[in-house]
Amino acid sequence: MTAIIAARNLVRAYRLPGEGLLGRRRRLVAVDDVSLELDEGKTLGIVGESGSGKSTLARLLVGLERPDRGTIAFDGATISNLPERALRPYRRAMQMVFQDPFGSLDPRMRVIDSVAEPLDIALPGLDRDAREARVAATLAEVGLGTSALRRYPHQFSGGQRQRIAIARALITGPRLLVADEPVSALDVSIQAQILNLLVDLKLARGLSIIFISHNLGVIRYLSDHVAVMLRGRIVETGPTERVFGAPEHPYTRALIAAMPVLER
Amino acid sequence: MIIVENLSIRLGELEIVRGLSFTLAPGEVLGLVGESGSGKSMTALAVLGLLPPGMRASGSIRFEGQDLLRLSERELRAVRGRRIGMVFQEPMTALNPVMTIGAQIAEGVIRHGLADAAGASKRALRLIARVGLPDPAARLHAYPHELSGGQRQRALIALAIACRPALLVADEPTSALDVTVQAELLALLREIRDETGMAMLFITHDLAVVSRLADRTLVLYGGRAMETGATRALLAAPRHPYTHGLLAAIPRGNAHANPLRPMPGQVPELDRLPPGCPFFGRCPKGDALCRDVPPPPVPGASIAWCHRPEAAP
Repeated sequence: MTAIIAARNLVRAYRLPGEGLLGRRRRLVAVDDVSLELDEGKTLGIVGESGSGKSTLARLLVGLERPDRGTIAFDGATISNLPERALRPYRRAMQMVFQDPFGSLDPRMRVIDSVAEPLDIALPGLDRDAREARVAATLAEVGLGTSALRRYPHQFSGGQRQRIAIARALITGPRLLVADEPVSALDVSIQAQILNLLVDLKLARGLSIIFISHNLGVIRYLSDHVAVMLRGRIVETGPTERVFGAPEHPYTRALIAAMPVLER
Repeated sequence: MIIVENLSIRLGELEIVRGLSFTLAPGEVLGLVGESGSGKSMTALAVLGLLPPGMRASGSIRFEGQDLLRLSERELRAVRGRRIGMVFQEPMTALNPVMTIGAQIAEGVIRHGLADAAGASKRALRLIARVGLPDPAARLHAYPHELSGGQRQRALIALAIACRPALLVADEPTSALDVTVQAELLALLREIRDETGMAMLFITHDLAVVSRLADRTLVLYGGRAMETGATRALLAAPRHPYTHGLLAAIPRGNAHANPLRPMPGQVPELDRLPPGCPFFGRCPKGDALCRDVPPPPVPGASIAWCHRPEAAP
């Protein structure tokens, strides 16, 4: 079985402002020799603390940033060296959802236009009725009614805005969804709704998901496989229950020990 | 030690908090739990006399023989920082960026007349060591931006306890931190409570944090009390459907084995609450009585403001 996405030896470094010793520019290696693979229809959870490089890795995987070294293959085809034009069809197949849905929703655009925007780029000739029907169907899939179509993002709660952002990510029918802390800004009761929505989408669409979070509880809930990141590297990876049940790396053990567990 | 009675907070027509009552004994930690719009942060600010302009508090907050709601700003300043310390989620906004950590800690100690400059500086050094900042002598002269997020929060705790307050108000003090740092800071707060016997009003959205720190818990929703009681009892057998729903929303294990059953609907907007219970509309047990009549407190293993509370198991 070919992996839906496979990364080999990814490296991404940034120059830091200012000069280090001997006038050399200091570098921050955000992603340091990372390899991973995800089978179609499965969910990979990437867990790490702030500065672990998990968000940079997410951006590399969907092509929002280019790696300095290493390769990324989507469904068996290497895409990390493609020019922007050739990358376009893959962008449709890989979509991203962020922590702050305001970041991906233009406050001045009605929901119908925000959600349809990726579709307008992919299928510019689509007629108005077909476009609206497709948006309405996708909104229904994320639990929003047609009354949402002509409203603006500020008229929705945080959880509803995240549903809209997910609809926008789904409208082009991607095979891979990369979600970077999508529930971290949400209230507990709403967080559970969005987690279940992602589970439903995975099952209904056969969607492959890379789910990035600092929250071990939500990682464990959603993921089939887990990768633990520390300072740009994956220090442990494996099936979720194995990693949580018998963590091998000392850092994984420390993270699990620090996890706020309900005592009662 | 602190007795809050019938506290309401209004912003014009909007009732942000309604009829809240709670007490704290010395050395006790009360966890104030709620989602956005629950009124938990405004309650904390009311106790500190720091409500934003336009908000009015009524009821009473009795603390060390005076009603904090009836003090002048000048009188409040003598209490705040001295008898009541405070720690907030974002230390960068609470710390002065152009003053060294040591000077900020010493300033309060001197202002409240607890020591002279030399004594205050010594106390600052001791506190910086106590909260676990590495190399305390150097940190005394460090500026906030030179510290990591977790270190800044430690510095803020040192600042908050510098005058040995009887009460510490902590609003989501660990929520922005990495889990490993969060666990260390919760342990630190517990130790300080044990050493000094100060009481703590701990505001959080996280029931797991509450379960590790709070002796008693008060659950808020839509500005009103839902349930209160000993933390263990309340979490082991919640009597209010909202507390039950909050617990059921915490992921345990994997979706295949332990699917979540989230409560439906949205966190309510305060101007759209029904006249009765604010949880009506999302509550699986809600009926016409719940919609129309505010529920009374029903005593039991905990106190639940509910027309249909769970019986004790």
